Amino acid sequence: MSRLTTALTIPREKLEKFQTAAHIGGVVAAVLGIVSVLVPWSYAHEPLDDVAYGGAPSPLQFNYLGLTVIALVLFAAPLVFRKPSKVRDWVAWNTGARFAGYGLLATGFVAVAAIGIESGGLINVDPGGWIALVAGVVGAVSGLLLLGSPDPSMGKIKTHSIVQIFAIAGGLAAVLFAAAFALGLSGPGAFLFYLTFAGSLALVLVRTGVFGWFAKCAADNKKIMVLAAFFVAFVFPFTQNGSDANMSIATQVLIFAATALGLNIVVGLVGLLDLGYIAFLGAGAFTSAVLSGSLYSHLNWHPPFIVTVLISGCVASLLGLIIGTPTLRVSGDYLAIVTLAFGEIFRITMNNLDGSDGPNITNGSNGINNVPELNLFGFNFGKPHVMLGIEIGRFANYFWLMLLVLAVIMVVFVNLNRSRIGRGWVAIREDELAAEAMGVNTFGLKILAFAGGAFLAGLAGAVKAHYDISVTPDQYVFLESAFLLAAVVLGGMGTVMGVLVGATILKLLPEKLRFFSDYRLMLFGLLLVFMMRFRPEGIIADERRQLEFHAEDEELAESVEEELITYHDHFNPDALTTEDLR
Amino acid sequence: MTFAGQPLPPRPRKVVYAGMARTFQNIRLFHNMTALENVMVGRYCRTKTNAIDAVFRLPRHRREEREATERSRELLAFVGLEKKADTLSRNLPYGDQRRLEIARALATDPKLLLLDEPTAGMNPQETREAEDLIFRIRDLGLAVLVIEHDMRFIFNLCDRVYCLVRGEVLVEGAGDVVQNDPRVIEAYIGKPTDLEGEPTDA
Repeated sequence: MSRLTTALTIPREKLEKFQTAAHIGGVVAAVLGIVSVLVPWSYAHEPLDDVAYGGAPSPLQFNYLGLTVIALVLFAAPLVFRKPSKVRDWVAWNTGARFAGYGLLATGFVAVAAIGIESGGLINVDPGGWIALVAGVVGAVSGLLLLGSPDPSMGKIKTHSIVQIFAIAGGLAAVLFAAAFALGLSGPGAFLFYLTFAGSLALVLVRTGVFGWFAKCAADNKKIMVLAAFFVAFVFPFTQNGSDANMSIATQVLIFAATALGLNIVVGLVGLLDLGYIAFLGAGAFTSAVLSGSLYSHLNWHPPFIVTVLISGCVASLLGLIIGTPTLRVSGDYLAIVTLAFGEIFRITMNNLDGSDGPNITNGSNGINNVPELNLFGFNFGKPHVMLGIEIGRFANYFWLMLLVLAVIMVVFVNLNRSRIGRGWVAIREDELAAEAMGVNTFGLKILAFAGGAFLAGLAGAVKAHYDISVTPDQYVFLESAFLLAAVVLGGMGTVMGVLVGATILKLLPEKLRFFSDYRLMLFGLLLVFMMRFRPEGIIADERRQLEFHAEDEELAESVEEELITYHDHFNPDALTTEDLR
Repeated sequence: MTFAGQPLPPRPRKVVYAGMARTFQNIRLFHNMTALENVMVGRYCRTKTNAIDAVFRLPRHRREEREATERSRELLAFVGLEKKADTLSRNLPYGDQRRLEIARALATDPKLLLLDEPTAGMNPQETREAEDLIFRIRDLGLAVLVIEHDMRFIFNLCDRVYCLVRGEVLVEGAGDVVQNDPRVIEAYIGKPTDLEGEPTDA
């Protein structure tokens, strides 16, 4: 992303003349944006969840209003406070203002396009929409003309821990509110508009340095942050008022994310390319379905679910061992091909275990239907329950169960990553020969990663079988493996947060944007190409991988190093100080 | 091949367990790991934490993790990198990378340390420092085997010198014995008769 901003090379001297003009232009753009909200955007009522009223902004327009106000502040502040001071330099005003300008353009453009498409022609765009677009163009041009500001120092402010905890609570509450609001939007245009808005806002927060301060708050209170994040995820069903559609998507996202986290061990930590990973999820699902006591299952043994989950994980990791032992001796492209074939073999085998070509275990392509609802400790997952006056439906029950499974998987991932085993894995990724020469059992560790990752996928599969009710071989096609891999690469290899973000993007977008799902392969392909060009380390980068891809970027190298040092200082306050290293 | 009276196992990993550690001619550090983590990878073969210990953070994991960190810091201090423990190894200067590789090899608790051209690409100052470091390693009670073709380095450093020509040991002995052996001179510089009338700039 930093390259996008430096791609335009207008000499600094020329730009300096335009600084005041650019600031004023930005203020004009922001004011135009504010005015636009008071004027109807669209003639018809359908687009963007109804933006057809003058003087009464819709909820979406209030969000847009927030962005314009932020842009106004960012553009106007340097006009008011002309002298540089320590407090002023906390925030990167100009850089933030530039991105706010881009954000105005992006949201304005999406708004006009969505109104045009959803109401049958640009003729139905009312003056408000056009004003918003003009505001965007003026804002983006003004932003382009601004000189970048020095790096913000907000991330270095010392804050009292109570303030930090409140910041975490506030930030997460905002995320929860935003998620609930976004999922409550009805039209695809409205959803896309909100997504553009949220993306712009996030970029502005990152670029101004405000996000850096949040990151420090989070890093200083790691445990509280993790617990709070889980709490937010836990209360999410309460924001949905019993709506099943959104909870169903959310549960699918969690299943997908849990599987992707398992894959992240294999791909992100050990650096082995696995293209057949969905087979392990399938193995878990089929095992769980066969043992579930479904009428279509031919095995007359149904242990309690906790046992089933473990058996599913073990079956999946056994498959991992079977495929891994002979093939992990090959590496790179060959391993990718072998695993690709394995994924297909799994699907075809499940198709053939139908009684005519083999033993009847899976009913062939019909799969195992009517997998009964889970019933744990008297809590029936299939029935809605009323809690705190809000109806918690079937999907929300499974959402909570999946949240628990995801938490387990995350603990496994993080603890392994921070141990001797995790170091061995990363060493193999970095230089296998050197790792072997240092006494690292490379083959054993690769097998462990393969089997361990498969086990985690098997756990997720066991829940998926009950959640989906029916398990059929055609759910586990190669495309799903490709999507899992895309989630890992898109989000950031080797990180937990990155994979969660990647999984959310890849699962949520096609569900909420129906028109998008026809073109999803093309659009995800484009997205990946753009990511590889501008941010190959993924949306949320592992601090180490970031360096791998931007080795020439000395500034980045230093900043990451600094981060590592502060991180370290945090855990060993008396060991080292930053000055020692200079 | 035998080592300390025992036949050496055929795998590099088992050789490390037997007490023989090496560095590489072209530096092969784990570039995207910190200096400390690099050395801790060296501790891998002397620790036993398994996946179960790590996932549940059992006592063995914690104890070994603490010990490995301590030992690795000691070794970093030994080679003079204690202040760079949290620097990514790819960002270290060349000489520091060489020393880090030695620290990583020492972390495997070897009885014999094999150094493959430890001064390749070093300036005289760094070479002197490397020499000093190797003497200190010897004083720890380790055997050190150095492959090198920097003659001044070798003859200042080594107690015993083997001169290899075409894969076979030509001469073996103390530094000055090997240095003055006519066969060694012949192998390195050539026969005096060959050079008649030709400039000897090699």
